[in-house]
Amino acid sequence: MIKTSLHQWAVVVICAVVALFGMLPTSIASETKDITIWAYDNWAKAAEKAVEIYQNNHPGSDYIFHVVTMGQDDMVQKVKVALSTGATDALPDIFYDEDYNYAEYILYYGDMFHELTPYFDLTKYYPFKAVNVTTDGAVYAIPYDAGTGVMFYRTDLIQAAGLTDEDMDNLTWEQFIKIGKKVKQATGVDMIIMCPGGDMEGRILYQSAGTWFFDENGRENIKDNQAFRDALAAMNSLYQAGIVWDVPGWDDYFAAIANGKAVALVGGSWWAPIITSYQEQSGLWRITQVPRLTGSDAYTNYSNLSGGNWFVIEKENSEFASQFVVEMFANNQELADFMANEYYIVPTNRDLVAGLTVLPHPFWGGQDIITTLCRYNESVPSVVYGLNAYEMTYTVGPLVREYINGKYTLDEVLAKIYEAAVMIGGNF
Amino acid sequence: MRKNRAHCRWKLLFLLPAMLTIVATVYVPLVYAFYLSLFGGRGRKIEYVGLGNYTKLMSDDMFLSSLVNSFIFTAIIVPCILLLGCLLAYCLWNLKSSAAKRFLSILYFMPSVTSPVAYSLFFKQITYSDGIVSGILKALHVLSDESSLLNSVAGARILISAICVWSWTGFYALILRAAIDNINESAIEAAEMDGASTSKIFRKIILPNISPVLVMVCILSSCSIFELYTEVALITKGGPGISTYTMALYLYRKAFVYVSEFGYASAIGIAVFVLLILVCLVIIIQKKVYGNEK
Repeated sequence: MIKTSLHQWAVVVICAVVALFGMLPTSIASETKDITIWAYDNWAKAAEKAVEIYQNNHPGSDYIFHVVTMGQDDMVQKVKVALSTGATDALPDIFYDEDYNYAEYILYYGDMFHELTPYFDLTKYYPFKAVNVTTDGAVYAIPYDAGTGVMFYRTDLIQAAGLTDEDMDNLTWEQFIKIGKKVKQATGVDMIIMCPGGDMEGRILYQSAGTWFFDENGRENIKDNQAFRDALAAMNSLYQAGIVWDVPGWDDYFAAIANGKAVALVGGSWWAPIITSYQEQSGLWRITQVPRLTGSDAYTNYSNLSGGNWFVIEKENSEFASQFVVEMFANNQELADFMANEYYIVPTNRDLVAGLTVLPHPFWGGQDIITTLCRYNESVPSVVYGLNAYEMTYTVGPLVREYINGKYTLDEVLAKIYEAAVMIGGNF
Repeated sequence: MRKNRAHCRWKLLFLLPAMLTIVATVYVPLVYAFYLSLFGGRGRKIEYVGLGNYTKLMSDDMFLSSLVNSFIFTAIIVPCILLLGCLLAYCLWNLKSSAAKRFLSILYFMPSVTSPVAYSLFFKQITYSDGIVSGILKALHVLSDESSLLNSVAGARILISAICVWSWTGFYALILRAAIDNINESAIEAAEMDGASTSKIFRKIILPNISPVLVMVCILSSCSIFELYTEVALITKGGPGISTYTMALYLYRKAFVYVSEFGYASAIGIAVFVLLILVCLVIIIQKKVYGNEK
């Protein structure tokens, strides 16, 4: 019996010692020159490439980089929990996240982020990006990519209706509906894929009209907002015209593209690498501007759907981390060329845009979509996303869906959206 | 006496790890969640608001809609589970071959040990607008060519309910089968000798004897419905509109997707907890009243 107890105690002690030593590298690591970067999707590839270029350019550097790729939701959840508990150690040195989260991070946890104002010249960036990384004159993130709002369309289906790519240029939504009816009559295919519940198209339309759920002071911006009224009416008129391939969620876009269920989709430029993955459709796709609303000279054919920025956490190596992100993500031409040509992620720093070396992309039938995206970015209206972009998206989307289904009139849905904006917190 | 006390001490010692684990992983978070629910505000800019978050919940359309959805799901799912569970359990109990019993028991149990993420993605794939289920429904003219099961309120609710029933029924059927196994066989044999039909035996002998287990199944499945998250988050994301929005989904979004309001999210969690206790109480009281009447 005693022998067994001793044996058991020995196991416990060994386990404790192993556990203790297991923890040691972590505590030692925090004192070494380790730089951890968190990112998701193609932006993790950007981080890996940035590390590779940096190590080539600085062979003597003794910093060790750890690029951790994770799902966007997982990463945001980890970041928010760590920020809310003040656990800087649980955070990476650098991470990438969407524009929509910037305001929350800086307004509520600003002291945990390293200010980047002295490190780079923000005036070189497109204004619509610059306004969304600035808080009270200080810059807390490196603007990286834009989710340039564009319309992707199938040129073969357009041509089947006797139209040309020029006919798709610089449209209004009314002209788009006319073309849509003509194409559907000729091909039987719906003109556009839409998912009002996700409000992706809605957000593109709002910004193309230079408006957003909240104004730059964070006050609700729905009441008496003609642009919102026109945007919702335009979405509804697409449905009334019978030219929409309606999908219930994000994933159904893929099935619709793969099966040629619609001619066009309106989305962020990050759709480009997704569409190019359907190699059997090579040569069939083109991009053009988002159709514009009618009724005001302020309405444009240009918009943005998210995009993101690189953040630096205030911790032991934040000085070096800041220099790294500026050198790589703000100024490195090799990285910019790589991301643009491989993933269609175009820079938002005008100097990098001017220096881009664009390779031919046969998938787009000779259209230089990288240069086209950069050209569109010059005209994207600036809106301040501020707080609550996601909450408004998830609230407005279902309301718009019910408006389109006929449950609400335009006035009723606008009243509902106004109530939501006030409740969610814009009216303070 | 002394020996008993020593025995008792040993029992406590062995129970201690489990008790500490439960306290650390259930009760401490529960108390902390309640404490957190008394604070309003976002991020780390929070302040004590007392029961303010609970008052706010009462007028929060999204919360109230998700509450209604939970009751709708309960009304669809629980009766289906009870009905199918009893049926499967009775069939299993009635089987003569023990090999068949074992095989079917494993078969019933498999959905409940399948990852909800895996089967949710599978069901999502087959119910896409061009998925096999949508294809069959379109061929039968239940769905129009341009619509999808997930685009209609009824379709989305039925789909989520069907998945839950598929996933949970087998597990409950096995519990019910164990309850049937415990019934004194002589009562059933006597009824058979008296010429009672199968349905009469089931209604008059089996059902009354397994009713405590049925109550437990009611409670457990209701709890699962009120905490429904994975299926909804992966398949419908609460849509179309907010027709499949659940409280757990709302809680998650309030805490981690929207500007973090941990106090408010905790209040949603506590409200769900209180609601579950109320639902359990209603079921138990109803059973007692019903039992007394009988």
